[in-house]
Amino acid sequence: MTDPAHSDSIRCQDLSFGYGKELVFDSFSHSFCPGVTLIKGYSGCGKSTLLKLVAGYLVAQKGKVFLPDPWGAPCKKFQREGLGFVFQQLNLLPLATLESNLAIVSSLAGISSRVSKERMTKLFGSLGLMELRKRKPSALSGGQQQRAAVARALIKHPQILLLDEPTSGLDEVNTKVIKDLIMTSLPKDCICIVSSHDQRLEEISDEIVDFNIRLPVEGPFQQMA
Amino acid sequence: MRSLTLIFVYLSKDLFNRWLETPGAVFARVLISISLCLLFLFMSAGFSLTERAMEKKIESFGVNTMIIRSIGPPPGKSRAGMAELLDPLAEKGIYFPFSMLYVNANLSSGKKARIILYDDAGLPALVRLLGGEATIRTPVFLTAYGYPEAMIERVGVRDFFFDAEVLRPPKILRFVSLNAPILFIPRSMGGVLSNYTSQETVLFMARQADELPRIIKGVEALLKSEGFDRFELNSPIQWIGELEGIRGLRVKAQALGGGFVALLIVLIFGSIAVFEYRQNVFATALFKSFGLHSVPLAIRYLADNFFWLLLAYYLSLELAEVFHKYVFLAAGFDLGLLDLSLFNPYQFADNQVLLLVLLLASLVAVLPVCLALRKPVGRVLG
Repeated sequence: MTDPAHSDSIRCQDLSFGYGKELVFDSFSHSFCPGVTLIKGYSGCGKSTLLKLVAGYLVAQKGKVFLPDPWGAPCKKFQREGLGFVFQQLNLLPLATLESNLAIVSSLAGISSRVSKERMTKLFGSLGLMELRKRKPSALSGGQQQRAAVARALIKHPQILLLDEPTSGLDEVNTKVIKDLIMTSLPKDCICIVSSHDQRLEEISDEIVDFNIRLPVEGPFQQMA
Repeated sequence: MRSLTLIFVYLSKDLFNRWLETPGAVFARVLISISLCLLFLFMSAGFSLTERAMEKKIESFGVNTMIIRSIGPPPGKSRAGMAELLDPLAEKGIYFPFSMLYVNANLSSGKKARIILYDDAGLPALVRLLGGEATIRTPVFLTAYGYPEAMIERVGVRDFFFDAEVLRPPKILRFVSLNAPILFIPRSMGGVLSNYTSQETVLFMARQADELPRIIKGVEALLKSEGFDRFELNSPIQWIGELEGIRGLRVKAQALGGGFVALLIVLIFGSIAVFEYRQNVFATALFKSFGLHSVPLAIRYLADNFFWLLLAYYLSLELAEVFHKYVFLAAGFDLGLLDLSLFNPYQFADNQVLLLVLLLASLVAVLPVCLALRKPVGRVLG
């Protein structure tokens, strides 16, 4: 077995986590390699929770998450520089314009203003947001907000990109834009984990982890699966 | 640095937005803080003015002075006269025994004057008390404010009349009759007045103030042993103890008042901070998800509290100056004490205790937000 502390993949080792007494999953182990991994499964099976554990937004009750070099384990520096995360729900700063939303994240990642502007132009162009970059999130549609959130996650060229239901509620056009962006803009050796039950994303995935099959915890969905 | 600037700009926007959205919360904080600060300032100023009044009193009477009044029956077979008993005090300073009559003299203005009968032997001491030989030109004289000096005033005591020269009263005589005029008559010229009911009194001014406490103890012991059942001994040196007491009380009151102010500030500002944090929890968690430490986010709430508390502090100092005279005149203080150009208890530098209390309270008020900021991002953001 390779040393989990030195690897180019994300390794989840015996992860257990629950909200309250109910465990969402128990002793989950898996390695996520560079490329796109799609996690699919029924609502409440723990897809989002797994992403949050990998990001360090939640702490596992048991087990560990090993991140690729140079991070080792989730930490603030990793969140600033190495992680791109798109939340399932609204996740843009409400009082900042799209440009400022991206500028804050890139500056926290230590990216220079010049590089940040270059990347912003490219991302806004490919996502069709160029005209909207001075607008605040409240002046955007759901689809536009979702695209802007993806742009914000990608601006720092993250080593790990975690997308939680990135196409949830989006129409075909918006979904295609996001799919294209993921396919074309992912940095080399980037580990991208997408949590979704949207089958349209399967075609861009290098690996699919099906939580419906895994069914980590006993419950009513076990019979349904 | 760029990231901090951007975050600062965003959080400032957020702050202004909150103020505009909830002006009631802003007014509540400022008005309550001003009211609490004013209460604290007036309480402290009240103590300071009391101390100053006491200091002035001590200063005007002289710290080396004492007055002894016999309240019991007149000297007779049961006991000797107080003047004879305490005569050895003459070696230790200015010793002036006299009798204070229980009848008053009538001045031409309609005012009343207290009457003092003095022995001829006491004249040298009286001269020294009044500030030198040149001041006394006639044996019967009147010390009074508001009368031209050297004027001859015709004073009536029942059926008797005296022509008394008006003298400017020395401060020490306030010890005897406050600001009331006093008619001085030699016992040899008093005639039947000597038979009127009077109070044996001794006014003593020690040569050295540090000797006075010992002298007071000795006098008290002597008078008790000589059968003086009731006597009253007053000295400004005793008031120094009272002054210390007032100062101690002020410290206690400031500690208690400061605690009360701090508690209310913590409750009000803390509640509003938590309320605003809850409204803002999503953006805060989002910042944390970008890898931002909680400290700048907590500073946003701290800056909010600091700003309003410092403003309230400044405004309360200004308002206290405006209302100072009205408040303390109503409280019965002498107008002479209330001149802010002479004594201003509302200077920024003199109220650092209050400032410290406010700053500490604003820090403590942010603690619930700091605790809430520890909540993992994953439990806030969906």
